[in-house]
Amino acid sequence: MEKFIKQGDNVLVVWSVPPTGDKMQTMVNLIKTKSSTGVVQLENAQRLKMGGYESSNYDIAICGLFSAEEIYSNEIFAEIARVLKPQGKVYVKNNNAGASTTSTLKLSGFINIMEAGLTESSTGDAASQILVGEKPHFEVGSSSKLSFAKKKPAQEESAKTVWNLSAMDMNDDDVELINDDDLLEEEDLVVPDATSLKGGCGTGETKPKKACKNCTCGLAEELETGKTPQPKAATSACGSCYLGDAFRCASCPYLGMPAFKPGEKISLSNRQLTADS
Amino acid sequence: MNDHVRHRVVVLYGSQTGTAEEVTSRLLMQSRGSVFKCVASAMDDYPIQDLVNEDLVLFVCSTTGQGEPPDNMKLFWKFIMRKNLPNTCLSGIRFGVLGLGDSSYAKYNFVAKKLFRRIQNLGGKSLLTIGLADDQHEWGCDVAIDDWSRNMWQILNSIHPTKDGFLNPIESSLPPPRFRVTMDDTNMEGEDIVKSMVEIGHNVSPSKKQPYYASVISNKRVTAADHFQETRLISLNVSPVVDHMKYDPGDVIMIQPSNLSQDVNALLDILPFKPDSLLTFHSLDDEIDASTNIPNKGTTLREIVTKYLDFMSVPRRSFFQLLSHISCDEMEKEKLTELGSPEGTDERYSYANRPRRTILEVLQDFHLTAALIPLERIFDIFPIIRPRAFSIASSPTRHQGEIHVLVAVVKYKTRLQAPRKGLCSSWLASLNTGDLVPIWLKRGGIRFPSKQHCILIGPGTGIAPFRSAAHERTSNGDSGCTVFFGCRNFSSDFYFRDEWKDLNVDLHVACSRDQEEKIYVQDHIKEEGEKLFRLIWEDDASVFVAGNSKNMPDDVKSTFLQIFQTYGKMTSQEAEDYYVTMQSKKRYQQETWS
Repeated sequence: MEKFIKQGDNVLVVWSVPPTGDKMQTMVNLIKTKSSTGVVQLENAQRLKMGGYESSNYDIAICGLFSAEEIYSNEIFAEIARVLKPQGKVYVKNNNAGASTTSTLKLSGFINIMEAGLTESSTGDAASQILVGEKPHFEVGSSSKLSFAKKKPAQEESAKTVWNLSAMDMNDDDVELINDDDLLEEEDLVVPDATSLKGGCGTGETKPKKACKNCTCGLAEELETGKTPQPKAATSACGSCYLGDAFRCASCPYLGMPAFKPGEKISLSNRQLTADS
Repeated sequence: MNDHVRHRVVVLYGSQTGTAEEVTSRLLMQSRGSVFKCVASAMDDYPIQDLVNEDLVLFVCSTTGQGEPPDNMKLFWKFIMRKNLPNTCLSGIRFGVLGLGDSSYAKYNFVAKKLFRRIQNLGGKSLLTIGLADDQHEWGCDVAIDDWSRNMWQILNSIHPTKDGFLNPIESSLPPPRFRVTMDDTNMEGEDIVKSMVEIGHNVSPSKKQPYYASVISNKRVTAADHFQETRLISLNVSPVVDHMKYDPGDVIMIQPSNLSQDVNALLDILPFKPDSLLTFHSLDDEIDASTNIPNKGTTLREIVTKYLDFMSVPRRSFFQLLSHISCDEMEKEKLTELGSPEGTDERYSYANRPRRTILEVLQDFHLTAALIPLERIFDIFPIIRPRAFSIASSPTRHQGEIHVLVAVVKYKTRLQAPRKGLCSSWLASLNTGDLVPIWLKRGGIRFPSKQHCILIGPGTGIAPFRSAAHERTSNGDSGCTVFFGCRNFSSDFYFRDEWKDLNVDLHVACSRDQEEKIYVQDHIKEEGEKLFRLIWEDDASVFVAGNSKNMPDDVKSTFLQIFQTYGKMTSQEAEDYYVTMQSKKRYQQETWS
């Protein structure tokens, strides 16, 4: 089987029944001389998936090297397909006539599956069949445009034409419409939960009001000392009353009135003179 | 700046209250000077046949309370939901969607979500996940808007990286201005401007770009003088363009209002410019907003302020942000920065939104900053006055050459001393005979079948389209109508009280306050249940509901569901199904407004 190996090939040997004696080491040495500069890796089929092998790394994978009785599952072949380079080859020695192995290979993504010949019975075993499969020249799972997609520009043009013809009669009420409620998917019906509606660090506590410049109502003091000051007798000495609402204290009797102009006579309405209840 | 190397980005918005439009203008501002050339338009104003040929398209839209799309994207919506559109027709576009919603509503951001799915359905490739802004967020919609915008610009930048000589979108805190402005010292009389505008537009259908300036024939108060609510019937003369302004009952008239002169003067007082000098705006051609038609020359600041700047609206966050960059006064600047930050949302709400404080009033508070506003920044700082839609109250046959609108004048108190006034209704109320009103027509959402009986439910100003229909149907000899009208008192706000007897109409009026127990339209509908059911079931009658969108439409609907159950022996599920069938066959139509 080693005749399929070329110089520089990275080779993966997958086995499930260990051979007797030093057969395994002999084989590895033999392959190593064939591939010389390439990597040669032996792996138990059951452990292949756990091995964390890099994708698209091997040129050749060999199965059933030590025993032609081994049967590999779809899953193992798929994993082999993953670690093979595009157009890499898998060789499978198999005693059971090819049909089931061929279909398993196909299902795992290999193409151009055929018989690679019989093994020399140098080991004294009965001659076994060798199947070869090739990994396609693209990655498994990659997408690519299908050939009929070439028609797309024309299709797009005709779609545009339908759009434009349709747009010529915007007021046509008799055109059938889709039910727009059907557009919504489950996730569209989810209502935001309360925690996502909080700004900032999300403590949810209301921010204390900032004290004005030249604060006289005691808020600045309160914020500084962390204590609530004794209520003071009302005073109009804060000097901010004449400004607009943006700068007035929270308890300013002039709230709601425009800013005063210099020299303007100020009169409060009855409503403003009565305390809010 | 060389436009050939800039990449076109189309920003389409669907806006009901103006937020989506404001967000759009913010995006435009962010893109200014970058490698992206943004073009903005309301979805219904955008030439939809062009969409298939765009590359980058951003959608910004809100969702109305009932889960419906905003008025200025309704046509667009109906179009993209057409079943016959192939699922590859938008495969040439890359798109993003930003939704503005409120998660306290069941149909939270439904329009944006559906739009996102539908554009994908039609082949569009999404640039980034949908942005869902939520009014219920502690810091309001801004958090999600900012996140989405930053993300979006990053992705667009990865597609088209920034080049030398271009700004990075979003990074510059104060983008370059949109115009260069030159001022001429010759004064221009306001009168001349108005006259020059009347001349245009006689040979084409008037539009937003080219409205028709209709003169006021009459402007009458239709509520009793001592009634708290002022409602006016305004008749406009369209006889010179009657061939270009054909309409049917159910259609809508768009009115472009102006500010009242006392408000204009108050603003001009605090702006540092001569109001009557001639201005020329040299557009830096950085952004095109298809929906505005600001004159670029031969105009004055007074005209701009009067006709274009919506300074009687409540300021949005970007307003404070921009002003904070302009301000030089330490105290004002600090406060503006706070009000313009997402963290300042609470503060901004209690200062501006809750008391409905106007931009004018804010500028009066921040007068030192107001005095520094550069002329070329005025279209960045002030929003543009939006046109308003009114259901036409006149009949094209009976009132030939005229269009009537029924306007409830909006006036209310908040904790601010001065009363709040609706911009458009106050302006309309102030008009005298002969004054000019810029108008154009828009197709309305409802259509009346001529051969079938119509059941019309229109409390308050909701009666407007039905007065149009009743007159038109009577003069055409169409099938009759059953009309349900609701008001407070028979003597104070019963609109068109003397007209109904001459019309082919079975009228039922619910006067809610004329007796101890309040009576509403739905109570009368219930009383007439058996008859109405027969009309619907046997005579194929259609139901129409118009008016305030608060509770009335739902109350009326549930009354009909009850009628179906009682007189049609239906289960509640069957009644609901029957209602849905009526809706889909356009036999149950609504036109509601807030």
